[in-house]
Amino acid sequence: MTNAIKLNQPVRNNWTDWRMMKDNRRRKLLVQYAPERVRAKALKKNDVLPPEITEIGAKMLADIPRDASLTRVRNRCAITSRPRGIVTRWRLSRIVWRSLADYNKLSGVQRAMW
Amino acid sequence: MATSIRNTKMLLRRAFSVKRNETLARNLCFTRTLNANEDQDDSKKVVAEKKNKAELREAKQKEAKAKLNMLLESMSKTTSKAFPSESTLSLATPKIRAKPAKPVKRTAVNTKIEPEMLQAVEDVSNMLSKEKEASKNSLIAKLEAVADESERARLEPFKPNKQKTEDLNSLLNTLKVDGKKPKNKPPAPKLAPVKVEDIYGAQPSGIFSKAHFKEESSAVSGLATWDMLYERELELAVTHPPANGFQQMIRWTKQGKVWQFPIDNEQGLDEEAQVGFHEHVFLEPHLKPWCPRRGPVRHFMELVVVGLSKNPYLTVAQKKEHINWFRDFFEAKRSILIDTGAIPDITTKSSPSIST
Repeated sequence: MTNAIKLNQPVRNNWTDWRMMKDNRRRKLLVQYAPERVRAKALKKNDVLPPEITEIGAKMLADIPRDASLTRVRNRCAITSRPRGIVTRWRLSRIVWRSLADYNKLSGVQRAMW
Repeated sequence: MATSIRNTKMLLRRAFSVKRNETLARNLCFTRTLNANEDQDDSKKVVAEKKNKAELREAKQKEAKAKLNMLLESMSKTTSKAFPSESTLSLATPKIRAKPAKPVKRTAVNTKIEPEMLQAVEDVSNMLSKEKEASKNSLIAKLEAVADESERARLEPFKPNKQKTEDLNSLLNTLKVDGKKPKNKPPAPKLAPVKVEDIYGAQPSGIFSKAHFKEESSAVSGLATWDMLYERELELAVTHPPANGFQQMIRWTKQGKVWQFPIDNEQGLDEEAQVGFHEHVFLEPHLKPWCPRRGPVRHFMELVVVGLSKNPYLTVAQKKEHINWFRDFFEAKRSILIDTGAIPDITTKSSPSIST
């Protein structure tokens, strides 16, 4: 199952929507700048080193692009790009998850009954 | 159409009548035989009676035969019933329109020679000779002969005619070539063929020592997408992507991408498994060469090392790289550290004396 809506038309990308594409871009940047970010944050957020070094750390952290921040990443549905109601383990929105579960496509998922 | 239907009906009726007659005849025959059998089965009677009966039988047989013949004849008679050739019904008939006069067709339609050729022959004969018809006919005959020969030659496999080749050769030899070429350049001096035994034995001639070879100008196409798609086509032509899910799974299994059961979380991390825990946890030796033993820097780096030792997600190489980055950073900010007093200044540091 792919999230490509337009399969037979000329498209710029095969993401469900632009928000999904941007989220993907942010995730890539996050991975790219992760070590830099950790080091800068360590330099900034400590009271051991002299404040001059701490300021330098703060500056380094500010220089990193904003999209490399973890807080900007949003767990979207992999198929519909829905930002809310995500079942984390499957990375799907609850609606898609439910439809797949009803068609027996999710391993070990069963209708609850007790 | 109506007549045909009627004819078929008549035929059917005739058939039925024939059948009826046939059945009649058959019944007659059977009854005769049956009766005859019955008579035979009965007790023997007087000979005279028998004789009479035989006579009667014969007479009856004859009658029956005559009847049969009559019936057969009647059948043939019925078949020869005369029907009017034209229908007696007054049906609608189409109007007879006078057909347009057709143009008189050419008696001689030459299939061997093309019409354009024929036209040309006609024009030529009209222009040139007085006896137009005769010349035209002779020309046509010649063309036809040529066409026939070419057809025969086309169909048959080619056999070189020695006589003809000899003639041609003699002809070509007799032909003289006109020397009309302008002789601007004198003919190049002919060198005697050189026999070379060892190619690399001689000294280099140095012809191209001062040559300036232009670089091959690869024209930038400017069609990046097209180039990319072309390369993709080439790759697809060479590789064979899987046609279905089964083939995909087979491929992945061969590549080792598929989970093995029972599931081992560290499947695929064979190199990491060989690295011992001591390399992950005991990172102080990496600080030893450069980090001062006391001071805020040491304090900071100790915290970093403790954090790294508890980190299971990084490889040893990554951890080393982390520590080295800090080393380089502090090296770069050395002046600041000295100014702030984080690092003791070595230059100003005097040798320890008992007096101070």
